[in-house]
Amino acid sequence: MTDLVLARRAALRDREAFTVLVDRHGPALYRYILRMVRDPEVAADCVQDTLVAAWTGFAGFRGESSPRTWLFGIATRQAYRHRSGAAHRPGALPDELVEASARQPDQDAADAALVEALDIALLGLPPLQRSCWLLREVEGLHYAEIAHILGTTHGTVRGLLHRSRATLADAMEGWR
Amino acid sequence: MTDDAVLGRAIGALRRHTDQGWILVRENALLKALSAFRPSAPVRGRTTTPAGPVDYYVAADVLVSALRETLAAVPHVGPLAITCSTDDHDRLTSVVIEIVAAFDEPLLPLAATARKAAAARLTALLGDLAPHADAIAIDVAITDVTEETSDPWS
Repeated sequence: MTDLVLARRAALRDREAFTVLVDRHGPALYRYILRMVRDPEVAADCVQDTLVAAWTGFAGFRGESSPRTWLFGIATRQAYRHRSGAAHRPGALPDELVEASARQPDQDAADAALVEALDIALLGLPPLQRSCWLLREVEGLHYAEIAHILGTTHGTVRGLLHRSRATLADAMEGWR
Repeated sequence: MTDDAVLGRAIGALRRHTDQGWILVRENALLKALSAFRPSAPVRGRTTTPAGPVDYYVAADVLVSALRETLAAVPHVGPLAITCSTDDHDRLTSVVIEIVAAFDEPLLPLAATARKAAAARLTALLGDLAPHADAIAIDVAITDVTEETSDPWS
């Protein structure tokens, strides 16, 4: 069943459809939010607020964007709202990282180390660049969708991505 | 390995990665969301008791949810949007229903079936204040068709 069908059902108070949608995109939303707010406790609150806003707001969803983009828009607004509070806390790096999968242990360990290195590198990016980079490179959103979410232009998104890629490449230099 | 290759590999690892935090937070976050209050207009219903008529209110969201269930059970029909309107006395005046229909289905009979099912459900919910099927404006707009004949939602 497509996301759009699930979103329409959720708008009509179909709890099961909403749950399927959450299970489909929840891990990515959490992944994105955690790296925006940096603190697992704040991320938990932020994800919860995102889902509440989605459930209560689905009636107003008109399908101008994909449900996934719409959810990331809500997540971004929540992350920025929560981030101001989190900025006063120590910049704790999330240490509960990789969930085991069916792949080889060596591969998992290498991936875990790589993700950890990337998380450290991401801390060096200003929030807007980080948000832009995560939405494009990890979550696969289009430039126009990111511009819409961040309230900026296509050209600005391009510039933010260029700078963030350069910064991350420098920070990950030791992995070459 | 080049810079691009390192970043590409790291991106791939991050995409495959599920944070433990999501596993921990999922249930509570979902529960909280589904129990959140969705603002909803009241719709007046009426039932007759031995002591006389008694009015009650049904949330418009509940009406919408019930209509969705009813329409989803109509073969070859899937509800897209349902809008209820009330007057100054919270009485239901109109229901606009948009549906998707299975491809090649005769649309007018399908709309009539959907309208009849919706009216019956409204009667069950609103009792004596439910408008008659021929009095209430149930606009059925067929806004899409699909080649899937068993479940147009799929």
